[in-house]
Amino acid sequence: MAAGARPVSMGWRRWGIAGWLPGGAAALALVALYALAVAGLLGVAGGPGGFDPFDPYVLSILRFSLIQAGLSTLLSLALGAPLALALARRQFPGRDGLIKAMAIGFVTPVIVAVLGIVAVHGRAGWLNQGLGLIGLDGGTYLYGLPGILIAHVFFNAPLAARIFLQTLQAQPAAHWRLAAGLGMPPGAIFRLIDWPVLRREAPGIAALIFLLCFTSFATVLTLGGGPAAQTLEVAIYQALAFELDFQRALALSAVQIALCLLLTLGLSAFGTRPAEIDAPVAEIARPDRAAPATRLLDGVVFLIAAVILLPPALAILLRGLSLQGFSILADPNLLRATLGSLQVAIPAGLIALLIGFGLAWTARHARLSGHPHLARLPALIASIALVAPPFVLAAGLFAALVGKANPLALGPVLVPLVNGIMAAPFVFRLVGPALDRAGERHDRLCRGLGIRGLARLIWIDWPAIRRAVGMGLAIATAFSLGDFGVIALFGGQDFTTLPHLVYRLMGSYRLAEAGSTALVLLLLIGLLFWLLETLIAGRRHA
Amino acid sequence: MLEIIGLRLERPDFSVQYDMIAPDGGFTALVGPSGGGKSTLIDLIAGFLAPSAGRIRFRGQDMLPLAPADRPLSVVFQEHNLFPHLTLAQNLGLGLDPALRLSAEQRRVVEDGLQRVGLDGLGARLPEEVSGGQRQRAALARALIRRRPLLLLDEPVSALDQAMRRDMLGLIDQLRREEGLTVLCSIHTPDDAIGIADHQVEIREGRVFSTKS
Repeated sequence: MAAGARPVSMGWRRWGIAGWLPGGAAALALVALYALAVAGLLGVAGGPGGFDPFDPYVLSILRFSLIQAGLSTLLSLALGAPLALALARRQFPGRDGLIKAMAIGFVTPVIVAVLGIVAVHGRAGWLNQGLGLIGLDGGTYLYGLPGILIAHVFFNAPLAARIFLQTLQAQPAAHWRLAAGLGMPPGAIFRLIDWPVLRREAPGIAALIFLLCFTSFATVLTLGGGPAAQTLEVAIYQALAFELDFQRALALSAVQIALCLLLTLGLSAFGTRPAEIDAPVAEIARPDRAAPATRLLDGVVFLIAAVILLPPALAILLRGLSLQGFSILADPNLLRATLGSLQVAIPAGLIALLIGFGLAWTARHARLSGHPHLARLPALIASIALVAPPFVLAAGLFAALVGKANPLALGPVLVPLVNGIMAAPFVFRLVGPALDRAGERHDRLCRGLGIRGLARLIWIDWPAIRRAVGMGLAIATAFSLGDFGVIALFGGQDFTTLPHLVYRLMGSYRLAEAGSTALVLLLLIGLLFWLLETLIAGRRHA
Repeated sequence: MLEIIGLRLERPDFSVQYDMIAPDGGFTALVGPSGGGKSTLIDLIAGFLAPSAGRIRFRGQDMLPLAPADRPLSVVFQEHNLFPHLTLAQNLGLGLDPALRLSAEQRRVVEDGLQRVGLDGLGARLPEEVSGGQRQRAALARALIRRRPLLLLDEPVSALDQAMRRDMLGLIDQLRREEGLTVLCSIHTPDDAIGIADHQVEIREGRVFSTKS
């Protein structure tokens, strides 16, 4: 009877909509916002044209962007890979803490790290002071390429080490049993077991680091030291903020997006992974730990890493705790900036969650309902947010809306929006795999029992993904709290954030106050992680 | 003769104690339920686990002070005997030189080894490009060319189907006779070993439960 069949077909349709709607809406909103931004900029620029991509100025920026990103990537891998190997081989008290500290580096605001690096490597920094004691003078070596490289290695070497370490530690126990059983010497273990892993992972890690460095903004703006050392991202900001050359900003953005997409596609073809081995992960100790050669090597690696990475981290804390800097606590600007940061970061985190989760949900639905090619679309859309310059989006939306709304009210709306879009890929990357795993494990059961839509999300998926959701929300919010990006366009006396305040204090050489402000920012981020981990991720603190 | 005397291992969640002998040149089957401690015994003999007390002697020699690679034995596991990114020939070569720098003579030994287990011509394949049975044969061939007198096998046929299980156990037995090996082999389905094993040791709850010859 027809009446009996209807609910079933309606149910399937409802499930279909529940699957396609979240990602579809997120994608549509993103596309519409980007289109509006480009139209807005074209409107004020008076149409496209008149731009020469082979203009010597553009070529010099491009050359510098490529060189600094290439060198940063090489140096980060050159330090990160040996560090990962040394950590994989050694067990020592505090090892887990060290690895956690390396993870914190990823959410440390760039502007805060820059402050620490200036304290160590600046004209009157620790290094020059130390050299002064023995009658030497290092001079001003920080600003320009060296400073950019120091900062990028500070951020990305630990990142590379962490990803390498994860894969090195994911080797099956069987490998170490075989190596021990066959008596493989340490050199052979490196050549035959570790090296293939490093080589397999390197292209993906290199691509990630290259992208991060190629589009680097805050580091290059603060440590670049002049027009000779610019990335496309900085040039776009300057075209928008100072030269009011909107055509150039658009053209530079097009160049950046094209290059980044090319790079992403090129390297994703490289990084083919072999069939994963589903085997218990090593609990058997690596047989190459006792050899004197590896002990010596690992010691040297730890020493080098400590010399490069520890002083700036230490400087951040010491700078922040100086008595002189605490005068900032009485400054109304600090309160204003703290509120401004929260006003940006909380909506931005939620926007990132909505977009990232929506895309991941629909990608999974596409895969499970037999459209695996469609599942790639959300991933592509999420990665566009990673490579598209946020300034163009922000300035374009501003240009499009400026006639229709109070210009002063636009900043506090556009900054969280753009930050949320920029942070959405983090949520997508974290939640996507967790959602996929839950999907693969339970899909047939869910379809058999007819569990779908919201019920499936609440009862089946949520327990499996809550940790990833909490982590994604925490990282997106922390990223927005610490981001010194589009706020550079909109920030001022009335609308400011903590990173923006740090930047302004640094600019007026009030480094002690900048340090204390940075510490407040770090405390806020720490508090946020603790809150979100306790509330959403459901970790019980004993 | 392989002698296991008062061999103990204590862990928070389980403890085991073994006393048994396996005669020289014999095929001793270890049987019993999974989780009963068969693999633990093999890991202890091979040196992957260190016992808290007891002795392991082979032909009168105490094996406990020796590193796994220096003990007079080879081990074949249920799976993951081969490195997935190395060819079968390279995986065999590791048995001759663990740093994999092979002379022309050693390459010939590898070819011979492949041939003896019926894998001639497949040396250039990766493990994932051959069947599960062929992977186990390759592991056996590597154990063979290492020329160690004691061969430990931890459920070597459990991942194979029934016909292949008989074939593989038959091959192990044939090589044992040809080489005069002492074989200690844990088996999940004891029926497979009927007519092949000349001794049977049953292990339950971390103890030797019964022995049959």
